[in-house]
Amino acid sequence: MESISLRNIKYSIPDWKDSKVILKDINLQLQQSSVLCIGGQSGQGKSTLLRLIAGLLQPDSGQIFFSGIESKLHEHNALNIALVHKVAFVFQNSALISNLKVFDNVALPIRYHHPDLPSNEVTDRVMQILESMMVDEYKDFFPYAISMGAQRRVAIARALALEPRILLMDEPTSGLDAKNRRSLLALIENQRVLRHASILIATHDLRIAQELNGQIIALHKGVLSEPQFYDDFVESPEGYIRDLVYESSENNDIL
Amino acid sequence: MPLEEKQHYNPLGRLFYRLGRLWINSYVGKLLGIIFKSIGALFSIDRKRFRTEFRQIVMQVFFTGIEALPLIALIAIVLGTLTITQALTVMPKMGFTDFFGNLMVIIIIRELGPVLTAFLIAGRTGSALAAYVGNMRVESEVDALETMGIDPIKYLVMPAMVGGIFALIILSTLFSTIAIVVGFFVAKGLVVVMQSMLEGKLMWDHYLDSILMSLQAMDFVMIVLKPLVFGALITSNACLFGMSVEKDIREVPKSISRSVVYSFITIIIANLILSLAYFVGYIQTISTVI
Repeated sequence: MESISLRNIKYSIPDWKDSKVILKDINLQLQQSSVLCIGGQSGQGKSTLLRLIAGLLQPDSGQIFFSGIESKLHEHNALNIALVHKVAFVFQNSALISNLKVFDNVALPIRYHHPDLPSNEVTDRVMQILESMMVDEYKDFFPYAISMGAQRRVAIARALALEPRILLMDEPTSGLDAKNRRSLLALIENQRVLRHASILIATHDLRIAQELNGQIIALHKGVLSEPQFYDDFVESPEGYIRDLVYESSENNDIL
Repeated sequence: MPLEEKQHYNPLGRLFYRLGRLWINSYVGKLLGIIFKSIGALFSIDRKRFRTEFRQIVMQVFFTGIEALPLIALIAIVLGTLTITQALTVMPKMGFTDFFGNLMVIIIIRELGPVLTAFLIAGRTGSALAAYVGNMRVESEVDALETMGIDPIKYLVMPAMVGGIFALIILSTLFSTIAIVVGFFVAKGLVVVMQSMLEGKLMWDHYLDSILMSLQAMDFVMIVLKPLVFGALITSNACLFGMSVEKDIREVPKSISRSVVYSFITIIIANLILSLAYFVGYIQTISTVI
């Protein structure tokens, strides 16, 4: 079963005299309970593609399906996507609400969408998620007071609060040290295995796909390559894919 | 040409479509859009979910109302004292002492009280709100709310507007009261100190009676209506310009300055319209009585 299916998606942004095409004719399938990584140089449109799927941007044309149901263009907005199709988004900068403490950040979607839930149950549920993300010790901290790695975990905790079927993650490992990266990948794998969530990750860190047993597609000049497992991907004869693999392994060597 | 326009409209339809888009994308269209969306959000509020929005409203009332009170009180005292002392230097010489109450009602209660309070709140709270919302946009916090299925109009804009209006009604009433009461006693003190320069006598009973006699029923409506309109304009301008920030942090200071300037302009225009409506109604009432 396909969790997400994109057909002939096109997206452009207005330029000062014309429009600049970012994505041309994108076709993509993400299977249920699987991991798919989108690689690509900076500025190729990886984050844009995730934002399009999440409904934060509108495509110029094309069709987007969630579990086989089409998201019509006039209904394709983030509120609908989140509520109807149970899609959660983890932003590159975590995007935690700055005037709410860690606990309240995670509790916010639960309180908002389950107003009937007694406060002790909300507390239990939030604490359970925070513990599973190993950030329960920061529950009374404001986001600015915790490290980037911890912020990333809280952002994932918040995204998981409503038990999404699909998780979109933008550069989840950027700026993390090796230890934090490993534990974050373990948490993502848990979500896939235990909750059968489908996970789409935009990243420069292509090793993620290997470690999570997922596939990789490369986004280059607005076009996606065929999905491949890491071992096949690194053998690709395409120059831009070789560059991507080289950059990714260089970054991993630094870590 | 946008896809929908190309597909669905004939030339005349296209003209109206474009006029409609022009209206929606204009400043007035966007401002009214955000005001009506907030009103819609207020009336579609889920009573069970009200706890989340109520917290935001209380925070806004606290920030707008309570924290701004010392500043409002100071300006009110200065304005009240100046108006009374200026009137004392001129009115007794011209024999207009009986119109003292009218002067205070017109200047403080009808015009300057609500407008000055609104200006102070636009400069203080409106700018802070625009900065807050603008930073939330830059940091993708507004996008994050949407991806959690939380409508930013319900969570951010509507509580700010309701809290802002509520606080402004209270502050505006307090401003007028402080200007009239405390202004009187400060001016009385000045009369004692500067006897040679200020000729008139200030009697509390006479002063209070003349103010109460000058108040019309419509004044009580305006005491609520003006701050209500000004509060809606300040918070909607702040949210509109805050929300218009894209991903560039340099847009935040621009949005703050635009929010304050446009708040001032819309407050002045709204005050003119409301005062003219009051004046026309007043003249009609007098003609009917005569």
